[in-house]
Amino acid sequence: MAVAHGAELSGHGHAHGGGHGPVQVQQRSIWLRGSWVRAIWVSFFFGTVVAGIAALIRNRLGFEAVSGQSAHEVLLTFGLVFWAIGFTVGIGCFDYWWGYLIGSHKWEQEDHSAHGAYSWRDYFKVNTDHKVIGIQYLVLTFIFFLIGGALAEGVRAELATPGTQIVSPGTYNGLFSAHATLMIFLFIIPSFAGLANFVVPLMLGAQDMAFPRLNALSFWLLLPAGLIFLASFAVGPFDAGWTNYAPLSDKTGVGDTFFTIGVQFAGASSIATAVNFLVTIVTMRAPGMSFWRMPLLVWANLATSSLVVLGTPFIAGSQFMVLYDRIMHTHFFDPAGGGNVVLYQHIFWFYSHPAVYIMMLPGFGIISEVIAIHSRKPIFGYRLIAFSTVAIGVLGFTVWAHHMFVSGMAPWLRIPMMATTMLIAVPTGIKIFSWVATLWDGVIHLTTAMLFALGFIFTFVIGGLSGVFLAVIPVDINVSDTYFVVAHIHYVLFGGSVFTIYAGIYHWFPKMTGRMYDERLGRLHFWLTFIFFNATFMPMHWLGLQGMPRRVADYDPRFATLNFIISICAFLLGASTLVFLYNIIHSWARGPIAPANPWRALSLEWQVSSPPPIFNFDEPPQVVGGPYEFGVPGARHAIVTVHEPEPAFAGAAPATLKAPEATTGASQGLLTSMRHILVVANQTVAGDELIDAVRSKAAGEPVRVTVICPQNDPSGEWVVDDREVAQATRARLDATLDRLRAAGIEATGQVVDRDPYTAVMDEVESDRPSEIIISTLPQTRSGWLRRDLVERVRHDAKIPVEHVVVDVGAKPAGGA
Amino acid sequence: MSAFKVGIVAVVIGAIGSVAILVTPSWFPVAAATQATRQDDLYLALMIMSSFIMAIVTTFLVYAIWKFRARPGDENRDGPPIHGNTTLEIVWTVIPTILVVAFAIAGGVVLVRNEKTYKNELNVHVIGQQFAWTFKYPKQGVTSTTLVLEEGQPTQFDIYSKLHDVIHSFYVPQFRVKADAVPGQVNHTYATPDRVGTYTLICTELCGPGHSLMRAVVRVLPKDKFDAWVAAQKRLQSSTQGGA
Amino acid sequence: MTSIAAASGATPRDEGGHVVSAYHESLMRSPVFLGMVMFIGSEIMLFGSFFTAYFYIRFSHSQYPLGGFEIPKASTGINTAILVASSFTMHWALVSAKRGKRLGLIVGLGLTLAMGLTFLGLQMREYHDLGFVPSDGAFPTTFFALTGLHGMHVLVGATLLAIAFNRAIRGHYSPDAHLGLEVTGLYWHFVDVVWIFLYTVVYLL
Repeated sequence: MAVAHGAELSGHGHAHGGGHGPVQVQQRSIWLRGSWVRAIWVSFFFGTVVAGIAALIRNRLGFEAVSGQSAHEVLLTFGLVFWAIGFTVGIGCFDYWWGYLIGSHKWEQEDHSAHGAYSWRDYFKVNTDHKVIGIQYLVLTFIFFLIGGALAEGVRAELATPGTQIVSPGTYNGLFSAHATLMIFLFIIPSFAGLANFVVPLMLGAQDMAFPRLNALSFWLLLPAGLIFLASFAVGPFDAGWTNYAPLSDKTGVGDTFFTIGVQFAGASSIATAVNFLVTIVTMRAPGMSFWRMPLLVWANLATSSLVVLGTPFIAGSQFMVLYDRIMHTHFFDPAGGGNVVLYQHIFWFYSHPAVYIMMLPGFGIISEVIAIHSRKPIFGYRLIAFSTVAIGVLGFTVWAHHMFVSGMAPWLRIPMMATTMLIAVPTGIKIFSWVATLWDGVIHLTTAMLFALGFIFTFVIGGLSGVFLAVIPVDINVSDTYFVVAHIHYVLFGGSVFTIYAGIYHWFPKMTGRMYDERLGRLHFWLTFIFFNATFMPMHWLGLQGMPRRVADYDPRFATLNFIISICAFLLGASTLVFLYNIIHSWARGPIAPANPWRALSLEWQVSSPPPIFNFDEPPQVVGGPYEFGVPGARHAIVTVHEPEPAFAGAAPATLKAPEATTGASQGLLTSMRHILVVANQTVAGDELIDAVRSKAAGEPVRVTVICPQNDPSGEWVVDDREVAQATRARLDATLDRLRAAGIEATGQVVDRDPYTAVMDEVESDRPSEIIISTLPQTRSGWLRRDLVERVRHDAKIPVEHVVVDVGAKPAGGA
Repeated sequence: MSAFKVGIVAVVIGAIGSVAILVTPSWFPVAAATQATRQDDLYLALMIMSSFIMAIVTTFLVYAIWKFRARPGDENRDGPPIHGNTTLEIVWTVIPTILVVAFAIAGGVVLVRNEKTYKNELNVHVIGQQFAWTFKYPKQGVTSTTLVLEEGQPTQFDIYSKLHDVIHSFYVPQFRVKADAVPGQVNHTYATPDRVGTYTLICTELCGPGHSLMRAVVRVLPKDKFDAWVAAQKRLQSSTQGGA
Repeated sequence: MTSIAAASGATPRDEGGHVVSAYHESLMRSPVFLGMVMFIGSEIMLFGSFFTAYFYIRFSHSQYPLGGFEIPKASTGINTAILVASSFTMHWALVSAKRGKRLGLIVGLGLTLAMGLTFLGLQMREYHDLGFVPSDGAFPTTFFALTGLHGMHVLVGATLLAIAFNRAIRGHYSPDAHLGLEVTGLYWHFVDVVWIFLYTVVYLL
């Protein structure tokens, strides 16, 4: 909580341009400054001291201080919690806040000493740059993915033949429990947080997250959480499943204490990140970035973060209760003491079902990006997809008890929960159909990212449909806790989440690393993953229908053949990851240099260099349109101003627009006798046809051009802010003027009255132009043409009027 | 090919898939209770719906990938700027809604039928503990470690776990019914066995290291044999009690 | 034609002299305040999970509290009054800061902190005198879990107050810059409101 408070210092310090080198501060000894050395000694110091104090207090209160199961659990709890806190303190997450806490820090000055990576070593330090944190997240979570995958291979090795061969049943229970825990809490959830960390601030046109230091703390909480989970193997792993159902979790071995504590740190990390995302999305949007102009990944993160903020406290609560039951011998889930067993499941699933959407919605966002960009078409039904994202988020809180149809909960709760669960299929279906419709008639580039997105659609439809099966109570009663459920969750979390994570990593790899990956290896990776994923998990449906229960080390010999095949496929699926690893590591080091925008995308992260500059944008970009306007002539998402590289501090840097064309032509002196052309355009103002038309007019003799932009009608925007609309219009106008000037044409312009006819006629009256160019969208989509603007002006102005249609098929002038 | 034609192909594929689903010999172990047959029908209906949805999505997906893939020369081409289609969007919101509502109703009906109670039904107390099952027949006064049931006799299972034990789950795949054994409360499930045979009761809730071996034999007997079994158990129990 | 982004005029700065970038100009509240609101939303859900347990266990028994545990309504009522009063002194401190009245700020904060600590002390005393411990049954379980969770939040709130108090003495707050104070106040009011709910539900009803 002190964290959230101190976070005020961390925000919004980056509103200036120019690159800064790392600030040279006087270095203290490695033992004392934030470092791995300090992390190690402080973590163990905190852990042992606090455990020691706990032992002393126990002694004073008349309990066994250090011996006995009860004392072990108590000391372990305090030791682990403060070990983890000590780690974050030692590595340096709190250094800056400490000054605030004691009220003596010189925090009046900007401190960017921990922002941005200047060498690979910076990735191993506390860093406040969202791009560095994003990569830290992705690398660390991928390591946990590999460990979790290895545990899964252990599970499959044991299941390759019936009977118990390799591990004891107790260890087996530990293997699948740790597998699920690592995959969920330390891979899927945080790797989405990592991807979003990198991408979302860029997409919003922000320079960083709202609270960069809190962001760093969120990341550094993950490592101790993961180590705590893994450390449980030293004392006998937690073996009550990732669901940790009470009362088994109340009674099982000491490993379960590790689980309850690890979850708290992973959960705290999630909540802190989610608050950060929410505040970032609400407050850090660039000018003109209304909610309806946000890329769908941002929408997905908005919904996900809301789920995390409201849901995750419930798993924290459930694990606190298990921990209290274990170490304080309370009776939350002990019916003998008046507690209730089913209560645990209600509290647990109230988080853990929304958690499924926490693990799916960001993936949906990634897929929307990848499909629109790699099929060169606007996303089909942008608003309906955004609405369905929010709908899934809201409905997600009303379905938890569908995990409990056989648990003996209140029977009346079952039918409503079935109904809400099945309704979630509707918004999910909307997304699937919209993606397929986006593909239709597109120009589909089968990049690896796109292959994973397309593979995802296939696997996720299967996972979604089996979810509908599981919602129908009589079917669920039959197949719950069987391999059908195992198949279902892997189709959702592997075929769903992991495929989208792969798609996202491939899609943004050039942006993150500045290098291109190897497409051939990427395709190989996709096909191996896709084939062996389906070969592994598809047969599990059948096993479940036949009555093979999940979480068993031993099973009926009649399932032997199929299980053996599944195990082989699982090993090959695991091996396919090696292709990915090789590709990523090799490409990161040696891959060809990536251009800024290899996919010709419109959203903001692609409008800066690859990798992006340390502070992302020199100035807040001006957002002027939607993010997926592929094929719309002249459409732009945003105008990004790039300062010329400069040697010293950012002073009065002249803003120059990065024009798509090279600057040619000599500048012209202002001549009073020049021809005067009035250009009227709004959405098409930066279109190539219009610029070309003006240029051809200017070919023979010097001309003076006045551009007027009747303001865009803001109806349909959620955030209606007159100033914002004016700014957007002005930004388009500025872009045009700069392009005209770049072509050597003297141009001035202004934003005028909303009604184009009045605007033109006023201008004709006052300024007496010699001719008029009106630029519109094609007939079918132009509001001006529907209102006969061109004909009316031609009739009334009595000077030559040229009509330019900025046509379909032209490449968007925007983008840079 | 127009989207309409692709749609027709998709529906045909969905229909073929449905036929394949219906002629598949065994999705499940043998059905040994009336509850099982109802569940199986519901499951097949869901499979047929899924077959059509799967066919529609996959056919459009595969066709689009093949037909609209970027070819040499397409490097700078964009697709047409279609932002949406209200009619289509309404269609794919409304039809799935109707489908899921229909299945929710069907699921509710099956649930109510499966859990119907009868006047003279057999009552069995199922008691789970780490890692074994015990069955008590309160009316008959019999206790057994094998679950023996009477063919055609509606049975209510009252499922217990011991107070200081953990959760187990009672599952007979051939009956398609399942209910957790929860410490501190009694859960119920219902089955009307309609096929004589020997089946397996499986614990399906993780309950500790012995979970995978926590099984029991289930025998469904015709009425006369069931009665004989009850009588034999009674004799056996009185003799052991007498001997104790 | 000027560039849009450059037209921001004099650079606005927050209480720490940090540049407030163009992104937030249109906001009513600062991001820090918004962040605290969302964090409190999360905290409400954490309390929600424990209240869920409380109500679930309470309503699954016909008799309540099971086992005839007695908790002191009256003396805790006085403690409640102390905590409620501290919210008012907190508000007074904030208003003083906004009006630039240093004395009111320091006294207000000091009183709030003192009352917070008094509340904690009395709560510890109550624990000591109760005569039962968390492992005695379901009612003690939920009672200690809820009051303990709240007590931890009071402790955190008191820490924030102590920091704000220290900074107030050092003269860090001004009528234009008192965000830290506002956020601390928000958290303190939240802790107070939770207690009123908790006292009503657990002690009175």
